[in-house]
Order: sequence, then C-alpha cells, then structure tokens
Amino acid sequence: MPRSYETVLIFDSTLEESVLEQKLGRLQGALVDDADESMTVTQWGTRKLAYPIGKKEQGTYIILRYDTEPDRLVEFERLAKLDEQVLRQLTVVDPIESTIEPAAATVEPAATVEPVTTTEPATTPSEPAVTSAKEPAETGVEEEK
Amino acid sequence: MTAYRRKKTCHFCENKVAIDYKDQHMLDRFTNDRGKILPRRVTGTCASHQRQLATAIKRGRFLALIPYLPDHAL
Repeated sequence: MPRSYETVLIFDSTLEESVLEQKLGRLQGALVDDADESMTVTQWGTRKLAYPIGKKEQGTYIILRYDTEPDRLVEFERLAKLDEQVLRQLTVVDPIESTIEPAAATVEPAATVEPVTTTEPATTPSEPAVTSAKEPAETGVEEEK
Repeated sequence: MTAYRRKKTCHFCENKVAIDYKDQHMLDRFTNDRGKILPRRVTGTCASHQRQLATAIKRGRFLALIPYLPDHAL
C-alpha cells in the first residue's frame, strides 16, 4: 500500500542546471512512474550550508513530496548514495503540511557577487561552522510524529 | 517576599503550530548559541512537543540548516 513521503535532497551547487535536471529525473523515476503528475517538487535554490559538507560551502536544496510503495525507496536511496553530487538525502514518512518560505535564505553563487560600494551596513550571513569528518549515518527513513 | 514567576506555556500548543524540521528560524529559537537543544524547563515546551522538537533539530542539523557546533568551536 502506498504511503506519503517527503525527501530533501542537497545537490552540489556547482552542478549545471541541465545536469541537475537529468540527475533529478533519474531519481524521480526510481520513486514514481509519472513524476509530473504524482510528485510535488519544491526548489529552494542554492543556500549556504550551516557547515561544510565534503568541502562544499553551498548546496542546492530540492524537496520532493510523493506517494509511493515503500519497496521503491530502497532503489532510490541506493541511487542517491552512489551519486557523489548528492551531498545529503533525508526521507521522512507521513510529512506534515509545510508552509516554509525558503526564499529569504537563498544565496546567489559567489561568482555573481559584486564588490560593495555603498556605505550601508553589510548583512552577510555568518560563516558556517567547521565540523570534523564525523557525520551521522542518518540517511534512513524516519517516522514523522 | 515571594517572587512570582509567570508560568511558561508550550509555544506549539498555544499557537497550534506543527513542528517542521525545515523551519530553520524555529529550530534556531530552541537551540542555544552552542547549538545545544534547550531544555523544556527553560522554554516551557510540553513533553510531547519537546520530543518532536528534538527530532526536528537533529534532522535540521543533518540537512545543514542549523549547525552542530558554533563557528568558533573548531
């Protein structure tokens, strides 16, 4: 019996858009038969990570909401883990309705930042925390309370 | 002299809001400047919501929405 899931994927922000679409399409194909109809895709865009993941300071966040058979998640997680451009993946079962507006936290890629010439106080976000290589192995499916 | 303290109430029960692990600002509010989860005796969160909040904060950390450690820790 299908259940509803929510998956957050963090891709490498240096990926080209066409490559990202291609990779996303492949992952979506593992989850549902018709991604256009049965899946809601929310793009948060490129954000600064709270700490570097594999020396990457930024990541592209994509949120997928869908109904699928639990068996299909196994193949999806295998594909996502094999892809080195997927920095993180988290799947949650029976997600709550989300009203988060991510636009405020979106950052532009560093290449487009122009030198600041105004005298206004800078409102740059703080530098991310530097963490050790110890990362939790929290990639499994979790039950939403 | 007896000092009266206002009774703390659960933010989530009072405002009837669900806990979302993607809500970075909410997660920030319930962690201290060292990134640790604040105890319910400080925030007034009820036991049920405190458990949900702890799970949400751990998910938020994993997704790099909030830090495990402050910037200066390492």
